[in-house]
Amino acid sequence: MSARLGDEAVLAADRLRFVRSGLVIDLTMAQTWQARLTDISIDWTRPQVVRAFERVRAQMAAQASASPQDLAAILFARRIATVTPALIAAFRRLDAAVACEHLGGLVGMGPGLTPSGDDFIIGCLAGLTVSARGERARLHCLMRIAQTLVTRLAATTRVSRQHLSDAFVLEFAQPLAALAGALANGDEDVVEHLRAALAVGAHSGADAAAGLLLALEAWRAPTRPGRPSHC
Amino acid sequence: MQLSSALSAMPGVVQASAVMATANNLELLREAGLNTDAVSAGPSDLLVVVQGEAGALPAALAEAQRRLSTQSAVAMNGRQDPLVMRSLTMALEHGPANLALISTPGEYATAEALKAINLGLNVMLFSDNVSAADEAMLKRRAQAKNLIVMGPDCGTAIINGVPLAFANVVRRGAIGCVAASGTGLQEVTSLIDRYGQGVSQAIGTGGNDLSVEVGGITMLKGLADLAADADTAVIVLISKPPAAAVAERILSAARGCGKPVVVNFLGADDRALTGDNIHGVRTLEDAARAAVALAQGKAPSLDCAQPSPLIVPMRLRSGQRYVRGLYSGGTFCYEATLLLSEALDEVWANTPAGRAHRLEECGAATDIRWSIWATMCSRAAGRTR
Repeated sequence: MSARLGDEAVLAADRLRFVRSGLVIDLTMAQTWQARLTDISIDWTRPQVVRAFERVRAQMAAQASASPQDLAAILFARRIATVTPALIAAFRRLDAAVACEHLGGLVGMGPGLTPSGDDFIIGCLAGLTVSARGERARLHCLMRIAQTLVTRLAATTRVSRQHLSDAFVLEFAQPLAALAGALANGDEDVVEHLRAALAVGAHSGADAAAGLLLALEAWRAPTRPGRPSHC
Repeated sequence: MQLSSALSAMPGVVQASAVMATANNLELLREAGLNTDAVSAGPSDLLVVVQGEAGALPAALAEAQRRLSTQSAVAMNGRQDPLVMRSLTMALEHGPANLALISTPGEYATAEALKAINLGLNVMLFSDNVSAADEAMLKRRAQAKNLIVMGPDCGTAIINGVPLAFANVVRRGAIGCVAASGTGLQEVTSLIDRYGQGVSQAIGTGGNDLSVEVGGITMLKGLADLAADADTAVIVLISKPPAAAVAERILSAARGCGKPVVVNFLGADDRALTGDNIHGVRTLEDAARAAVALAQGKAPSLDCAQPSPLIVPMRLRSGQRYVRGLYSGGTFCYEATLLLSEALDEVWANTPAGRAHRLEECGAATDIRWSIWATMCSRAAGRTR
């Protein structure tokens, strides 16, 4: 059983039924879920936060070296390695234009139905969200990045467009949001949250976690606006 | 990634990639020396690119097509990968079933159980942390479809000779049990086996089934099913004392079931329970003995109603102040507390019953002779598989 674009669907008694295929999606217990990362702020002065971050970073490094890589993943990893220093510098300067230039080049790039580049961007946005800490300049930079990248949605897959659209309004999938929250709180069980995040898809979870760590690291240091720039 | 790896491993193939045909991916592949100039696919199309000897390419593309069009993956060495069932619906498409055993974190368990019931399946709900309101809702829905929900927090059952979750190796026979106590059910079924008889069905209800909110729906359903079961001659009901109204409903159903019923409502007055086809007993052990006697066509021995010889003469060592019992099963703890509190003056427990005192913190009282905890210590009722 499957559903195709344009199929007629009937919603009745909490069940979504596709007329052509007979596919039924039971929504009886479905709950509306929203990530509330905007309520969370990371505080790097707390030792447990630093410890949690280091544990996750170490786990990610071990995971990366143990994972088998296909061609597309290798090519994407090379691209990420190239843009990372410039991206971190742009985040730290609150230079949304340059950040968008690098992030925009990753839209739709890499393996997966939600290409790795998109997952990486989503992770970055989650990291920037919990790192904004209510600072006006950071929030402004974050919103400009989201507003700019939304114009690049056509460059990726339909499924990924939805994920990116959610991230641009700062809504994130549960495993990623939980990991970001655990890191920001310095939770003892942060590695469990990392495992749950990594379990999403073949690449998606790891790519999003990588973006998350990069953004957290970038705004861990004080940010200093450079020259004004425009996306 | 699996597809890329499989194609890359084929003879004559240098490298292969299966990616979504986005502009950035096409550029990435071009940089890697893979020619994508003639591609007319869009971002939501899957692009399979293979580089290798000309003779190897048709086979590689055919293999890609085959893998993408078949649901069950066959690995390159010809081994059939185990099919992973991702939903109850998918499982039902691959074979008939009338029961789903659900073991998920509690927050998801209700939804899964509900799906199973909607699909016409009986449910054994191993998961705990399901609210009483959800339990009542699930059981009412099942009741409306003449289905049973065993649980939540139901860790043991034997249905048609098949052990579910944790169960003991016991012979099949004519005694059917329904219990709101997992450890109680395991002890009674094991003792029935030890005393030479067998078990037709062992049905768990979950510990909260006989509450006012749930109303004993599962115990009543189990009782009715065993009453209708041609292989069951004697029925055993086990629980802590139910809510009064629920107890009356269950006893009323038991009186009308047409078969002898042994009732062990721990802490209840067993003599008040007894009458007609109902045989009230005080302990789990007595329940097994009475059921075995009835299955053999005998009246339960009067001795069954007497307490087991519990008191073993003993002396405390110098400096020893406590004798402590540690139980993994709440029912064992409850039963032991009841019996000991009848025989000893000072019994303290974190789940007090009978004349026992509440034990808030071990060591706080100075004259405690017996203390009982339902904590981490196992008491094996039989062989477990």
